Amino acid sequence: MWIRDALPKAFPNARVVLFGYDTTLVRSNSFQTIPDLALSLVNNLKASDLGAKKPLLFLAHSLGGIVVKETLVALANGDDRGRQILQQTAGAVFFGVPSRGMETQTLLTMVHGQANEGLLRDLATPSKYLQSLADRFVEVSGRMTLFWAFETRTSPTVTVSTSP
Amino acid sequence: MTPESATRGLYGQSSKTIFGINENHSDMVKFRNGDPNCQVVFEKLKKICEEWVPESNRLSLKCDEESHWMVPFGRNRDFVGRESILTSLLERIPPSADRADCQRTAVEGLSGIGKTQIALEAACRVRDQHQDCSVFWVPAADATSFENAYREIGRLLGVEGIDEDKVDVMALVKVALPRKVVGSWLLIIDNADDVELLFSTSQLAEYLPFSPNGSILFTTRNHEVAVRLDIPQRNIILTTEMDNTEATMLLRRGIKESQMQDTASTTALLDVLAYLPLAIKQASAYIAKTRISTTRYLEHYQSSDKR
Repeated sequence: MWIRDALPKAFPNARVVLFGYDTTLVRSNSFQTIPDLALSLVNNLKASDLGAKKPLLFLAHSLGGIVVKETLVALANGDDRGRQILQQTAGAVFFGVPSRGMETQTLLTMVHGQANEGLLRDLATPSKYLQSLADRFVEVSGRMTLFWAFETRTSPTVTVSTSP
Repeated sequence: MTPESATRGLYGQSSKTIFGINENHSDMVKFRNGDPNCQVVFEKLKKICEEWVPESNRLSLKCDEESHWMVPFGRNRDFVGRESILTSLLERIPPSADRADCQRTAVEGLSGIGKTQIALEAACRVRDQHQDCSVFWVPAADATSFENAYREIGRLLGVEGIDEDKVDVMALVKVALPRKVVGSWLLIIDNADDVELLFSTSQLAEYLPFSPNGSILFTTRNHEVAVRLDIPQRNIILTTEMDNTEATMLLRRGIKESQMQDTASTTALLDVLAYLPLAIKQASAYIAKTRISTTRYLEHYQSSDKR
């Protein structure tokens, strides 16, 4: 069960909206960069009826957290509607978000030459992009309540399988 | 994702905002029915909603770019000595001394030892060095004076609704101080002596704000308070009685040299006053007013003592 499915029962007054994007790595034609994904989320938010009196919360997993951070930065630097959404943002819970980058060497090997290679490069440690995003995010999130979850079990790492 | 990478998105976040989920990276957002991890996440969401203040209830922008000086006393022109204590304080209390934390520092010492005057002098020096830093002084001897000072801070910051009935003034100010428009600040909690007041009956300690742009200085005669406020040992500055030079300098303020000619009785007087600045100050004021000598004052003092 995903958090999204558990939420309506625990918070009957909340409206839960899912924002997804293409995370397929191998043989992907997607050349979306993080700012592209963020822009798409910004537009989604602007098009939504958020009900001005209610707080807006983000739950973001992994790369999604980077997208959320980039989105909030973009809202701050955008138009009035954007800033209004930012003002409505009460906070976020980030799950295993690679705020300082991740070990992407293995993943990089996999996507070499593909359109989404740039996206992964953005995430490799040490990442100038992530550092700069962290700085910009601090600027816009001072008022928000943020929580950061980290996983305590190791995750299986990727290997490219040559067998069918 | 290491805890390091997964959590260092923000500077100055406290460990209270970080939590572990006993799953691997992809399973950390999937829950079984009644999964305790799920409850933990829901708690966080509730907390975010509780701390949210709708925009209409927020600060107006009137405090933008302004710094405030809310201290109920003027600079004490008779302040003498205490240089090593002041040096320690000035290394610790300016908000910029630790940009990643809302550092807490305490001046601890007996009643009458001069903690408040030291805090006042330190505040003046912070102000001299950091003109953009606001200073707010909160007396913590009782709940009413604490709340009144908070209300005054709220007014200065232009917190909406601060003068309305039934608002939680202290809660409003607690969330207002970390706002960016407020800038950097030094909060002084004077006479934080009463454990009950701070931690049980009025729970005043709950209303201490947190901001990496802020810093809190306490004066206390109660070591337990300093400990329970989580002040690290190196930030607890012990204040003892004055040394002979400081005490003589303090006594001399406002007294003519002719009144202190007898150095033996001056020293004897300082001895009976136990080098306590408050006692010296009172003696000095009395001597200045009555224009008697320290020798004569000492006689007075000792004879009244015997009675």
